[in-house]
Amino acid sequence: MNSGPSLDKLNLENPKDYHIEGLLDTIWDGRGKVVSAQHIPSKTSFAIKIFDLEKCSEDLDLIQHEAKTLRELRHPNICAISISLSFGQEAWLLLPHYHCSAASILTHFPVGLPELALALIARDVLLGLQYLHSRCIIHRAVQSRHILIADTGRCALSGLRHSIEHRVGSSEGDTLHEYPRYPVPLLNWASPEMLHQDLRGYSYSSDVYSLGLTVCELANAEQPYEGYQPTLMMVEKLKGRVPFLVDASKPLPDESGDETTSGGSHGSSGGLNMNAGTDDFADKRNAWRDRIFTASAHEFLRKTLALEAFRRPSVPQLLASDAFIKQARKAANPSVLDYLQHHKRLPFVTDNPAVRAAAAADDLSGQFSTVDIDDTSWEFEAS
Amino acid sequence: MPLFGSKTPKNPPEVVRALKEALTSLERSDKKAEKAQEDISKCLSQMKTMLYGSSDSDPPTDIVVSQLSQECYNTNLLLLLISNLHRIDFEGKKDVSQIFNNILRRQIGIRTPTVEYLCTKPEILYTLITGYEQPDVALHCGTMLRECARHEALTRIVLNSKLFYNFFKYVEVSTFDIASDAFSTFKELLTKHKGLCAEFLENNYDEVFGDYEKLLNSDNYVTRRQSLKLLGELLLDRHNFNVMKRYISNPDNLKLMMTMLKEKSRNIQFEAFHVFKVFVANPDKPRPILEILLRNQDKLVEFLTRFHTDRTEDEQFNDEKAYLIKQIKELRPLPPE
Repeated sequence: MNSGPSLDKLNLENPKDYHIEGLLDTIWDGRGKVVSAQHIPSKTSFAIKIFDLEKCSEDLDLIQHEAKTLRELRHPNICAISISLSFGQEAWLLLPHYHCSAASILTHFPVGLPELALALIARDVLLGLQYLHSRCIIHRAVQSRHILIADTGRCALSGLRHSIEHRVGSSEGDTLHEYPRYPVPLLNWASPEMLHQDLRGYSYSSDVYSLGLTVCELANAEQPYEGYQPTLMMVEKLKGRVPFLVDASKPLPDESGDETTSGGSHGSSGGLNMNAGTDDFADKRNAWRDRIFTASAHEFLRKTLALEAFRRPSVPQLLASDAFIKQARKAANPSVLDYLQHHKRLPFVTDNPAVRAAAAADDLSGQFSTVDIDDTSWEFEAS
Repeated sequence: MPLFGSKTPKNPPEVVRALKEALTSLERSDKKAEKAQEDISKCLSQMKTMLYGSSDSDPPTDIVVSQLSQECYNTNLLLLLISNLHRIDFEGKKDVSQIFNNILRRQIGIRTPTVEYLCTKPEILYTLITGYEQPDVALHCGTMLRECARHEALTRIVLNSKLFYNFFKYVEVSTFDIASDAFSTFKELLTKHKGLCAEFLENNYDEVFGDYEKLLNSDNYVTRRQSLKLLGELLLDRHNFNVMKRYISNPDNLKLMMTMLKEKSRNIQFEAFHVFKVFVANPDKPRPILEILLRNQDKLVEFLTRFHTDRTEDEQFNDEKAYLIKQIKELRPLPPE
């Protein structure tokens, strides 16, 4: 990672000083892309999030919000920018290089991540959230796509474009009602109170709920409420029917069973799994039946996914005393990447020079869709 | 009485005094700078607690808040904080802007004592403006300036200062977030207090619009696009009627808009349309304007007919476009002079 105070002294302001090496991802329905680049004078590599402002007719302010928010944040568990630049009709946000996103790791763990990995990721996300909340920011978009993992294994939150500042006077207990402008990719992870849009509004505890669903997503390798119509998803959430960690103690009922009668029996995604019945799914079910999560992991989900916001523990409470999160502190090796690599010989070391060189050969002026991005596993933003 | 004296929060005069001492020592950047930085952080968070309360303490009391504000006025602390902002550490800078904004929002009945105070200390406002020249404090100064801009008396001071014209420089810098922030402050200053803004624009028309033209011709895409959009909003605001009349009487302005209608960028074309329409809709077009429109009558009709035809959803735009086409078609040749 290239963050740190030394960057402050570099002159990063001239866009012509950057050599674009390769495309890492396209974001936000093609309104932007993420490229890897090198700042030639300092030989520092960056990831640059580039927005084509011509394609953002109505949303210039949203990108300005993201750039300004990120400039004012500095924390190891937040993916902040070093600088933002205007270059022609593009806005460039300079970010440190990350290894991959939590969502992309799942491609190597089709059944889900082991418990310690979940705890390590959740702990880092909580540290990031604690910082954001102390700066009066609600993230609103906690999900695996917005968790980036550095080479060191440290996880950082991205997706701050969806965040909102919570500063309603000085009185506490005030809540927000505003919806994110592009809510669709966030809905499945959103808290019931945010979806409900009633007078009570939502607040910081909304992020805790989304984290609960994210942990579940990573544990079962399925998006929460996958395959649900949004209205049905909302009804299920408001009834308190939430996904759970599927394991030997809480297996899915047989396929012949009545899967739709209650949220509790819906299984991992809380959802009508689209793949149900296929061979892959059968394998997955078998693998789920063979594993076991600790009681504290199940308890973590029960607490964070409480329907009433006030019943959920706060971020500092979780960090201080939750047994599931405590595992992360006791871990012999605190790097989630090392742990996962050890756990299962992973083929996902992509950050090598050969790959970069190959990516550099790609002609970026062509259509993004034709560029092969299989080598990299970036997911900065909800699409 | 608390049992452990060392934990007792200091009272406002003590905090302010400690903060002043630490700032002075930081300013001299002597050996104690590191210690000073630490003390500053402590003082700032104490002040924040006094103003905002904290989760484990009681909400702030009026007496403490008023004592603290009074101390700030008496000791000139705000200016000292702002002129040393670049020396304060990363999180401390944010604390300063939060404290400043909170004190500024303070009200006693209909009085806003901090506003009254700032009116007597315009150098605080000037320091905030020039803060845009230092990247590491630009956004914080911006936050504070926009809070100031909510008050007409303070906006008046800023607009009447020569430093206001610095904004034409600040909104054009290549750092995207700083330029964006400067633009939102600039816009706030020119639109928030309608009467004041109209008066300012009328009295300083040549100077402001001379500089404004440079923004419209800027190399910086974001500046061009945003300034064009703001121009449309300013001209269409009925408070600015006189300014609008003057702007749309100048054939150079019309030429510029017609050129921008044909820019490569669709967003700029679209914003230019919203300024161009004012020239055409003017029932009382001066002769030079009419001449330009007549000279391009057929071309304009054809151009507008093909202009952004894919915006089928935008009814208002389509109505306006149809209206313009009709107006231009109906223009009759001028009698010779």
